[in-house]
Amino acid sequence: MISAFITASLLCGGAIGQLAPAEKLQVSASIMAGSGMSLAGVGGRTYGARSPAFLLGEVALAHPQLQWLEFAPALAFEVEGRVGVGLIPKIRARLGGKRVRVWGLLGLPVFFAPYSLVGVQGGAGLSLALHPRFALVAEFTGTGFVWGSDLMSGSALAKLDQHFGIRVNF
Amino acid sequence: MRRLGLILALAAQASACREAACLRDSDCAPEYQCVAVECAMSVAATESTTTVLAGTTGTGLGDATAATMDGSTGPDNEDSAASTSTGDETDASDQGAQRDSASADAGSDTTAGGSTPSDPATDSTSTSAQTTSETGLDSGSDGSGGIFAPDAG
Repeated sequence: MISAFITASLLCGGAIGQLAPAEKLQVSASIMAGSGMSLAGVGGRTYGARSPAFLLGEVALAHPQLQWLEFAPALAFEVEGRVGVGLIPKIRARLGGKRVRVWGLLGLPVFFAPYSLVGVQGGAGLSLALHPRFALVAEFTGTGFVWGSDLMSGSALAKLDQHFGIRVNF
Repeated sequence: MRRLGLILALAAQASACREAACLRDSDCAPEYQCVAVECAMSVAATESTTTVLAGTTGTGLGDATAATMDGSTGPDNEDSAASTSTGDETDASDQGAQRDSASADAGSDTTAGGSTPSDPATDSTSTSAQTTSETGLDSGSDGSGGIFAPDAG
């Protein structure tokens, strides 16, 4: 978990290191809910099941002179079955747009309770502004979990998820 | 046409994907863990259950469960309740296919052996789990006999 934060911080620091300190970062918050499909390979066969529904709460930070890049640490809760808690630091590379914005994202999901899961996440998303302060958000992600006590022995877990929510700009 | 081909390919992939009872431990109830896409009682819980059941000598689900727990000691566990009381040897011809005596006691025909994933890590416990889940039996009223159960949430 700590290494994920360090990695994300280094990536952001390397990207914006040449910029002057911002007087005011652009801050937004989002809350999203979603589910999807989980896949795991056992004995040469692929098994699938619906992913547990989850909630995401995140705060996104962007430098005003580098608006295409956004750092968005998120708190994730899996709310079906056992409640799982995790952190997902994300970096979004956003395309310009006034009402509709599209982005690609890279994240490092780390679940730590009740079991551990560590993986890599990639995906894309879009937002539709309803108001200067409010927007609808949709994201589609693929995640590969390769380490953690929650995995079956000798198996990895892949997830294809989508989540939808609302974003508030401050 | 390319899009149609892509959609068909995805559909084929999806249909090739088998449904699983669990894909990770958190899909199962707290005292269970996911072994070969089936929820199985964790090793520590299994050992404690076996210890408790070892002291029982009567018939019924308790015996059936004990026989299930002893699946690693021999291939012939069918109708092990009868074996316990009479000492008869059971037929060796169907070993593996009907290992779960709890299911046999309940009158179900268990044929789960063939569909158990060929995971080398799968032990007799997980094989029993496959059998039990496919027959839909959970040892009925015997709470401790419910070796494998889906997550109740």
